[in-house]
Formats: sequence, structure tokens, C-alpha cells
Amino acid sequence: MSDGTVLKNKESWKAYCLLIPTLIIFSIFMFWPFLYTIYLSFFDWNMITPTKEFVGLKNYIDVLSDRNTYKILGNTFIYIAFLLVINCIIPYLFAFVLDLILKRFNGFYKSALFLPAFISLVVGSILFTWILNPVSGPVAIILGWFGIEMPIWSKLDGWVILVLSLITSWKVFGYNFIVLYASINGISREIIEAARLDNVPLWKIFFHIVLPMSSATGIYVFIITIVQGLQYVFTPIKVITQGGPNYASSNAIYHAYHEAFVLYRTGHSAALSIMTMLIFFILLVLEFKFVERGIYYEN
Amino acid sequence: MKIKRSVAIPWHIIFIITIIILLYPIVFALGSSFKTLEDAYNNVLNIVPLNPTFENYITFFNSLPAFKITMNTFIIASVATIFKLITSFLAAYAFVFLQFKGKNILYFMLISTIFIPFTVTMIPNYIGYRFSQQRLGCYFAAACQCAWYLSNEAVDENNPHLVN
Repeated sequence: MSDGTVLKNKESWKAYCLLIPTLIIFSIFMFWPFLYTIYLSFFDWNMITPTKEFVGLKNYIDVLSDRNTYKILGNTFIYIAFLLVINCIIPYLFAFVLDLILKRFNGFYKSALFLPAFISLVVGSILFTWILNPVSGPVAIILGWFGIEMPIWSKLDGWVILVLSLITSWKVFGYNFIVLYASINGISREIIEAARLDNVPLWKIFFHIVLPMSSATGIYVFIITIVQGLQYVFTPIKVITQGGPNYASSNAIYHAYHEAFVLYRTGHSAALSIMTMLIFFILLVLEFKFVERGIYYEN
Repeated sequence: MKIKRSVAIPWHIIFIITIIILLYPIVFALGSSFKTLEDAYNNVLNIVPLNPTFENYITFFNSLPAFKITMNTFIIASVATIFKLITSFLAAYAFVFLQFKGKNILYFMLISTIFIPFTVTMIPNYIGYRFSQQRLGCYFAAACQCAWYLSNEAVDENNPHLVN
């Protein structure tokens, strides 16, 4: 017993040394800014004046009593819903199909689907504003042949969120797909082959074998889709709509940026960011409570 | 195990359509980059330019400090990669092979930063950036703030040092 403690103390010293670089970087760029944002959320400030005025909870009350906030939170959840379908469920299905059903051109499909992940989303957003231009873009012209008029998506509630989610997915899809494919590909072939010999239909193989056995990666992609997805959407919002029309495409992340660097209300921005983080945190706890229990970890 | 063709072929078609949609913007950009302005507006559907021209590339290299921009990108990307690799290798080794006090708490603290949206650290980082810009020189600041810089126009508007 005492031997163990001695060893532990010796190792502790080594471990702390190894962790110091990480901790320094995290303290400067994560922990300190995080605490400072909490501090700022109680002050009225515009980033320029030398003095900050303490206002207590007023920023939180302002944000909560603003009707736009609720619109923006609604948008945030619509974004989450779209992103989950396009970047989590569909890649799951594609990975399953590519692994089990398609036997030819596998390498080509994998690399072609992954290719957009290399390209900057800013570049993608600019290209898509051109391609999806409702009057002169190629998509509008092709739809015109079939007599379909393309909606002016950048000015319509709902449409704008869908299109911006699709643009984000263009970049994120490939990465999520590759991660899920690797996980599904790692499932022991014997189990799947045995099920196939027993003539188990493919959808049953998906729900009863593949989904449970790749769930550890699945949950990772699920979380990444929500948390990173919302931050990725920031780029097309910034490049294409700047949150408009009338906040219809703004989400919680973009709005916090808008408050801070367009309206220069750091207090509001900080309060909104903290609340967004709390929402993420609640989602996370729910996820651990209800989903994590059924997850299969190989090790 | 054989898969029926009637199952496989529709999926091949779905995959090919998806790939065409995903790769179209890239091909579109490549094609348009060799078109004259007139050609680009009049023949939107033509991917292959009618009269290929290097005009756009010449304008680009003449009007922007292309080398400087590329170097900045390269410096930001490599510094971020090097820092990430060094710090995460060391930390991962400590977490996997060593036993120490507070291991679980530290691990949880580092992992939970995934769930902190960048807006939470954005304002203090910007203030820190402004400060380090004035006191420490631009490359240090640029390298450290790389991830944030990419998503933030305010930085390059306010800090011409990054561009020239």
C-alpha cells in the first residue's frame, strides 16, 4: 500500500510536468477568457471606454426580455434539427451502405465524399451564393427548365436556415461520414456475416447490430454535430446573410458575435454566450443521462 | 455474401448524385476561374470556358499581395498544428500511462472545453489579442489567435499588420 503511494507521488511529478504546456495554453486561451466573460456579463461596457459600469443581472434580464432572443433560440434549435438530419443521420446511413452494400468503387466514393472537407467554408459560402443565386445561378436556371421558380431563399424565414445548413453540411458531411465509416468498418465481420446467412433483412442488421456496436463513435458525431455544427454555421451566416432578414437566420452563436463586434454591447454578448453554454451543457447532461447508458464501448 | 443487384444499383445512383452535388462547386469554381467576366455571366451552365483566359489569375496576383497572404495562412496553420501536436501528445501520455492526483478532474476540465462555444472566449481573446498586438508584436499574436482569427473579420479590419 505504501509502495503504491510512493510510486504515485513520483509519477504525479512527472505527469504534472507533461501537462504544464497544455495547461498554460488552456489557461490563457480558455479558462481565463471564460472567467473574464462571466465577469463581463455583469458589466455594461463597449470595449473602448476605460471604465466598466457594474449593472448586476441587468444584462441577463435585458437578453431574456428581448423578443429577438427567443426568435434566435428558436432558430438555433431549427439549425440543430437540420444539422442532425443532414450531418449525423444521413452520413450514418451512407457509411452503412458503403460498408455493407456497395462493393465496387468504394475507394472513389470515400475520397470524393471527403474532398469538400479540405476547402474553407468561407470559399464554399461565396461559391454557393453564386451557384444558388435565385435569378442567375445555375440551379435556378435548371429549375427554370422544369418551370419551377426558385424561392428567394436569402430573404425568406425558414428557407434561409435550410440553405445555410446545407452549405455548412457541404463541408462537414465528409468528415462525419469518414469517422462513422471507420467505426462501422471496424465491427467484427463474423457477426454481420452470421446475420446475413440467417437472412436477416438489412434494416434489422442496421438497427440491431451496426447501430449498437458503433454507438460510441455515433455519439461522438452526434455531439460534434450539435456543438461544432452551430459554430460552423457561423461562417455562412457571416458571409451571406449577416443574420438577416430581421434575425431570421441568426443563431445564438452569431448573435453573440453580432452584439459584441457590431453593436459593441459586450455585456449582452457575454450574457448570451453564457446562456448558450448552459443550453449546451443541459443537452450534454441529457445525453449522458439517456443515451450514454446504452452505449457499447469495445475496450 | 452476395448483395442483390436490385439493392446495390439504386444506392450506386444515390452515391453518384451526392458526389456530383458535393463536387459541383469545386468544378464550377475551377471552370469560372478561367472564364472572362462576360463569359462567366452569360454561360453559367457551361463548366468548360469558351475562351480560356488567365486574365483572372493575372489580376489576382497583381492586385493582392498573394505571397504574403499565402505565407500568413501557412504560418498560422503550421504554428497551430505544431502547438496542438506537442501539447496533446504530452498530455495524452500523462493521462494514459501515469497515475496522479486530480487526474479525473483535469481530464474532465480539458474534455469539457469542447462544449464551450467560441463566443464565450471571444471577447477576452480579442482584448488579449489587441493587447499583445501592441506589446508583443504581430506574429505572436497572430499565431496564438489563429483559430479565432479565421472566423472573425473584425480582426483583419482592425489590424492591418496581418495583411501587410
